[in-house]
Amino acid sequence: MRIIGGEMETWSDLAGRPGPVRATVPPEVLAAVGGRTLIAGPHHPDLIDTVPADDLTVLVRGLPDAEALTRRYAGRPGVTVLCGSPEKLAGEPPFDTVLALDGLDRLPSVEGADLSWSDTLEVLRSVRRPGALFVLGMANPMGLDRLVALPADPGDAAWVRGGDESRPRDLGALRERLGDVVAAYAAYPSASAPAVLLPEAALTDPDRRGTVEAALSRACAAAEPVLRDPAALAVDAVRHHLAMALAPGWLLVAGPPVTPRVPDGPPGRTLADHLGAACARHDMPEVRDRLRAWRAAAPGVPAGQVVVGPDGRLTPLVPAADPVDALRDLAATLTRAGHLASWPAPRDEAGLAGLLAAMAGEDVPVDPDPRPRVPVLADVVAERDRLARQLSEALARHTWYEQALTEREDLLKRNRRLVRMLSGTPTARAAATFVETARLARRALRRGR
Amino acid sequence: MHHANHYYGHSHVLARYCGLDDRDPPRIHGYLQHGWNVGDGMAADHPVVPGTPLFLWSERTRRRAWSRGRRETYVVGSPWAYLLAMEPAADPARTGTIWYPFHGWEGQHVQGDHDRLIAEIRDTEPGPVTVCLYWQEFRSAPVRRRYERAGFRVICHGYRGGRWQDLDPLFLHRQLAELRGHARVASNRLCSAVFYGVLAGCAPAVYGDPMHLEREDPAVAARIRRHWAALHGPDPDPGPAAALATAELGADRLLPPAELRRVFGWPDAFQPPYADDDALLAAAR
Repeated sequence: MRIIGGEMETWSDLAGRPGPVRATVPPEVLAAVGGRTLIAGPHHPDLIDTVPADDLTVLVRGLPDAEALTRRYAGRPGVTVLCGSPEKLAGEPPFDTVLALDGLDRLPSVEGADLSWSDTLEVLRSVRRPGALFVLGMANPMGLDRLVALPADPGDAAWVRGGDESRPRDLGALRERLGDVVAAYAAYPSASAPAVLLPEAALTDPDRRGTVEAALSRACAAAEPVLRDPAALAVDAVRHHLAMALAPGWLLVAGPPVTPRVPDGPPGRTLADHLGAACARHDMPEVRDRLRAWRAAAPGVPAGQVVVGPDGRLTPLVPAADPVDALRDLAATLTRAGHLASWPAPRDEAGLAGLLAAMAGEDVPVDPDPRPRVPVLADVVAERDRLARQLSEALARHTWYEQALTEREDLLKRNRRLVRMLSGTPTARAAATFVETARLARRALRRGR
Repeated sequence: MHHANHYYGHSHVLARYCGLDDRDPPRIHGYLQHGWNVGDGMAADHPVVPGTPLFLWSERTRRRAWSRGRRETYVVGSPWAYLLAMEPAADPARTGTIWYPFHGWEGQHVQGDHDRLIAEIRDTEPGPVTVCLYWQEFRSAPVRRRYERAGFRVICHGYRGGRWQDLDPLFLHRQLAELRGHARVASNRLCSAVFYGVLAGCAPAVYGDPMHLEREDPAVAARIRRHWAALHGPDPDPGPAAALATAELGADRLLPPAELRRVFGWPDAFQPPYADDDALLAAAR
């Protein structure tokens, strides 16, 4: 370990939240790594482990982090840990590879120069050999994760230098600042811990639409309370060619040519996409056909993880799990998209799940979902509105039933009395005789008039 | 829910399709369209309880109902289409025409010239004619005799049913048997029976004095002639007519029994098994 100056004595970016950036760097990017390599900023050791460099320098600003990394890489030859402020790199020999997947915000130290985003970029540029591989991550201030986040107080660990006008506002500006960008990836579901890094071109490739939507909906499942379901929003973003613009983070690769690998997967759209579109058109025969095909081919695979090929063949992208859960998930997806009102009988997701199976000709009992669910504010509001409407409708029906019940009870009582009067019991006979006598008497009276 | 759900034995046909005891069909949790119409599918005099779905015959009717403010609608197809799905045709020998003179329903009165209509039928129909009257007109001896004197066979399919009583589970079955015995189905107004006939394999015709109901809005009849022109005239092209009948009766979008049971709320969990007459008497003693 070498302390280069400007180190922060008690600060740690590796411990606590949000913690270091953790990501699986695309293999085509790792393949371009070579020579003297700098990893700048807090990167998770699991990430550092994947970087195939014999001469590796890791720069962090917090002393505890530098010590931890030194311990961690004590046994790996060729690793140097630097601790301090980035401007102190000035004297270092240039690097053949510079990796800053965490971005530039957590590089400047409180003990060093007050560097803006732009200043920090210039520092890294100055130590990058011309044309060398440069991989830079950046969080998108208008990323999908921020759009769905509930308001929260930033903790100490989330501290970054604010009010920085030098920071590029969008991907285009960022690309321009780097200059020699060869590839760009969208990071989902967050910039600091992306589960998927999808190349820009794949996000708008019509053949990859199903695969990409499925990958994003897997990656973006809500982990904490949110305003809107991030998975549904991510899928919508793909459909409207906004998945790059709304990515929580971007990963830009500059320098030597890198060909981003398009994710593997069959061509076509997801079954959930087809079903949603058919519901929107109110094409129930198509909904029935697709549900039947799904239940026959891959009942345990969520409809958002099944791709419908051009020939109509279904390809599951994940292993099958509980078929009832798959029905519930589809019911939730359709409910979120506002399609619950397309059906009369189900008044909730469990009811719709059962009806979806029935549309495929099956009787499947579906209980309310026992799986714990992260609160989604938009769903809660929608459910509140739905319950209020259902209550007023239930009261209207209740009134109708009471009226019908009274009418029919009255009819029943009259009929029972008639039966009693006309049947063979002595009382009934007497009553009948009485009725008959009265009738004859009335008739005699009328005739006499 | 509504007694009209049991008209013409509709609920009986659907109960059978759903695999339930069709001697006493359960309550349908919603309003079932009971005749072809050019409104929202419901009879104008049926008040609708909020939150109660309307079960409609066709997608076209659903869209029209939506445009008129009906949101809780669902296309299930017509009971007639389900009956035909359960009763495949045995390639019957068809002769002549079954003719449905326009009629009013309970409490309505038709005004028009029966004699002129009879003359038009005679001039147009190539073969023997069966005239099917609504039960009210069938019961009226003068009306019935007028058609009989013209040499027509006069029949009635029966009483469509009252308020949850005097139901006629076999109404549609009789109508199907009659329609399958005829080569043509005709009326002076486009109505359910003409669509039924087309779906049952008859060639359609709509011609003659359309007559009219007391206080009827003539614009509706004019709209029907305009929008469904392909079914009007003494000899319309059967191809387009068949496609129209399939769509209007929802024969192209029947539900699987499991789905129909779900949307209807069938079976009724509180309904005891049907007791036949002997069991009922034995229990009463």
